[in-house]
Amino acid sequence: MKILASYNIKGGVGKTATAVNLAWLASREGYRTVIWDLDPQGAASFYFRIRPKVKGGAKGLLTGDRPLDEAVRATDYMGLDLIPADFSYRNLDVALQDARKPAKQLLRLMKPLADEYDFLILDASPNISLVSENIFNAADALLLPLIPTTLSVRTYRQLLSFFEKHPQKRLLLLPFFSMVDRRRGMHRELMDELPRKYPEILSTAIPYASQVEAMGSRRQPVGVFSSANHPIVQAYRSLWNEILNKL
Amino acid sequence: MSGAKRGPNQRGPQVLFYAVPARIRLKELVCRLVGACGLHELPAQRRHCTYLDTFDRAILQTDGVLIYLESEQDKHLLWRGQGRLQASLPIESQPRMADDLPPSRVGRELAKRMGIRALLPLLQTRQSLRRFVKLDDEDKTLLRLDLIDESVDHKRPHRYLAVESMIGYPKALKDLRDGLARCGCRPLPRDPSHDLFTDADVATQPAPPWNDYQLLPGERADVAARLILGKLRQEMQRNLDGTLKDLDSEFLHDFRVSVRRTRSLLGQIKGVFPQRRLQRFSEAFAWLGSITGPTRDLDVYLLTLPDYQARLPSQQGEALGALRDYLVQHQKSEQRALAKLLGGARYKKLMDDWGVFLAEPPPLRSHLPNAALPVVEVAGRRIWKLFRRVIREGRAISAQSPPEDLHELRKSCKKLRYLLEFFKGLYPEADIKLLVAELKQLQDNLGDYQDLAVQQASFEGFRGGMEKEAMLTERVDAALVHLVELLAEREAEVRKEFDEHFRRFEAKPVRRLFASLFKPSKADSPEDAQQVE
Repeated sequence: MKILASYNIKGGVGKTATAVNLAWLASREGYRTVIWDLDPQGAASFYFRIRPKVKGGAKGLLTGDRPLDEAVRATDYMGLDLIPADFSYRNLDVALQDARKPAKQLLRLMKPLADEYDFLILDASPNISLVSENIFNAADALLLPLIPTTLSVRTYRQLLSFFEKHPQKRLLLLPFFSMVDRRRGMHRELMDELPRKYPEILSTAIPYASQVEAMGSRRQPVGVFSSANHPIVQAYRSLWNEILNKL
Repeated sequence: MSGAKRGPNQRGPQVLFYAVPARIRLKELVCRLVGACGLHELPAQRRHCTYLDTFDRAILQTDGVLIYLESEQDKHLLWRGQGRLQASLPIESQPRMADDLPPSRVGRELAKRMGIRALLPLLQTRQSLRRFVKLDDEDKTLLRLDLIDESVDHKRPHRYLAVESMIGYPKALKDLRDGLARCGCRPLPRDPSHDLFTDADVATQPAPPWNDYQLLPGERADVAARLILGKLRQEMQRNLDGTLKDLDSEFLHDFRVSVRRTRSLLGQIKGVFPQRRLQRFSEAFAWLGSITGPTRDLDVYLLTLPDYQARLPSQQGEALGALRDYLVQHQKSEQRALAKLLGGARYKKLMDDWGVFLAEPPPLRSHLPNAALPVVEVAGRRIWKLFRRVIREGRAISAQSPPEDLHELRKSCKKLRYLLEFFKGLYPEADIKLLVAELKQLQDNLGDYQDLAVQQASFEGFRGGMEKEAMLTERVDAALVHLVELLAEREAEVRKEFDEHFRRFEAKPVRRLFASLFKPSKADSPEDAQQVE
C-alpha cells in the first residue's frame, strides 16, 4: 500500500479536491483506495456525504479502543472507502503528545490497512504541527498543490527549509500547480519561473474551474458529474498518471 | 475482526442473492421494496453480459464469477467471489490476457488466477435490471438492490435479486434482509450465474486430468495401451480448436505434450501392436511433432522475453523490446501455417484412422509377444529397463563428457517419466509421487542445461534473422550478444550442478524403491534381473 498525503501549510489551495478526485480516479482504475479525512473541518467527508464522526474520536483511535478499520465507510463508488473526519481531530496534536513515539502514531494506526488497499490518501489540515510530522513519517509522497502566487510559493519554501532541518529520506515531494488562472499575469510568470528553480514541480497544472467549486453542491468527485473530456477531469487524470509514474 | 489480517478479497461489498417468489407479482414486490423497505428506484438498464473464464476454469475454480458488462452507459468488468463484489471496473474492451487488466491489486489477483491463459467467453446473456438504493438523509447510498431478469438466447429469463451491502452500514443491510424475508424472498444458496451455466450446458469444472483413468493390473497390455492412447487422442482433440485459433499458447503446448506422449508410448511398448500398422501412425505423429515445433518455440520466447530482459541491464533490457516485434511477426506467420496444416485433410484423416485403430476390439489370439500379457508385467519390465538405462547413462557422465551424453540422458529420463505417469494407477500413489519428484529434479537440471544451449543458438539465429529484415540496431545487437554470454555462463553453472542432482536420484532409497516396484523376478525376465547397485 502506498500512502499519499495531500498537504500544504497554506489553506485553500485545493488539497481536498486533489485528495478526493485522485482517490476517485485511482478506484476507477481498479486500485483499492481509502481516504482518511484528517481535517477536522471534514470537507472530504462532506463531498462523499459521509457523516464526519468517528466513534471514540481521536483518543479512541490512538488508545487502540477503536481500531482504524472499524471507522472505514464505503463511499458510493466501488473500491473507494473513506475514514471520516471527526471534530476531535482538532485536538489530535495534544492527544499525540501523550503517546510513545508521538511522531509515528498515525503510521502505526494505518499499518493494518496495508493488506486491504493499494492506496491510502490522507487529506491533511493546513498547518505544520505534530500531525504533519506524523504524515511526513507515514507517507510515501506528499502531493503539494501550489497556487502560483507569492504567498503560496513562500509556504513551499518554508516547507523545504523544514525538511532541510528535519530530513525525510523516503518521502517524495510532488508539488504541482493548482487553481491556475492563465488570465492572470502572476500565474503565468510564476509558472514559467518556478519549474526552473524547483524542477520537482510536476508538469500537470490543475486549472481553476467552476466544476471544482460545484463539487460542494453536487457532493461528488468532478469526474462523476462532468464529461470525461472536460479539461478539469483530464487535468486530474494527467496528474494521477504523472504521480503513478513517479511512485 | 478489526485489526485481524484479512485476505485481499475480504473488503469488498457483500453480495447476497435472493429468489423472487412466484406467488408475488412484480408490481407488488416493487411496491414493498419502495414502501416497506424504504428504497428509491433509479432508472432501469439493459445490459449485455459476457461471462468469462479460462479454459481450465481458473476463476470459477476459486468460487469467482467474472462478467464483462456492456450497457448504453458504459462497459464494466465485474468480478464476484467469496460472497463479495471484488471489483467493478470501467474498462474499454473485453479483456483477454492478464496484460489487459489494470496493474492494481484487483488486476494482479485476477492475473494470478489466469496465469498465461486467456479469458474466453463462456456464455452471453441479456439482463434487464431495475436498480434500487437505500439512501440516508444526506442522500448517501447505504446499499443497493438490483432486480434482475437475465436470459440466454431470449429464453424464459431467470429472475433474482442481488443485494450489495456497503462497508460501515450494517444496519441498512439487516433491515433489508428482514424486509425481504417478510416478502417471502429466500436467499439463493449460490451465485445465480451457475443456474444460467446449467441451462446453457456450460461446463463449470475443468476437464479432469488426461490420465485420470483406471487400469487393472491384470488388464491385457494391448487393451490398456489403447485406453491410454485414446485418452491422449482425446486430449489432442480437446486442444485443437484453441490451437487453431491461437486462443492462448497453452492449447498448443498441451496439444504437443499429448503428441509427444503418444510417440513415446508407441516407441516403448514393443510387441503389443503389429509393427507394420504402427509404422504409419508413428510417422504421422512425428510429422505432428515437427509442424507444431516452430510456433511453440516462438511462443516460449515470447512468454519468457520479460525474464530475459530482466537479466540484462535496464537499457539493454529495453532494447530487447525490438525482439518482441520480430518474434510476434514470425509467430503469426508460423501460426498461420500451422493452422492450415492442422485444419487440413491430412490431420483429419490421421485422427479418424487413429480413432478407428484405437476402437478396434483386441484380437482373441495374438502372435505378438506382449499383447495379451498383463499390463502390470509389461509396464513394470519397461520401467525397470528404462530406470537401469538412466542409471547407466548417468554414471557414465564425467566432467569431460560431451553435451550429447547429457542430451541422451535427458531423453531417457523423459521416457521414464512418461512411463511412470502412464501407469501410475498400477502402483501405490505415494511411491510414484516420490519417484516422479526425484526424477523431476534431475530432469529440471538436464532440461535447463539443454534449454540454455538451444536458447543461445536461437538468439544467434534471431540476430541473423533480424539483420536480414533490417530490424537489428546496434543496441539490439549488443543486448543479444550480452544475453548469449549470460546464457553461456549459466549453462556452465548448470552443468556443474549435474553431479549433485544425479547423485540424489541414484541414492539408495530411490534405487530400492524402483527395484521393489518394478524389478521383475528372475523367472520372469532373467536378463533384466541384474542388480542396479
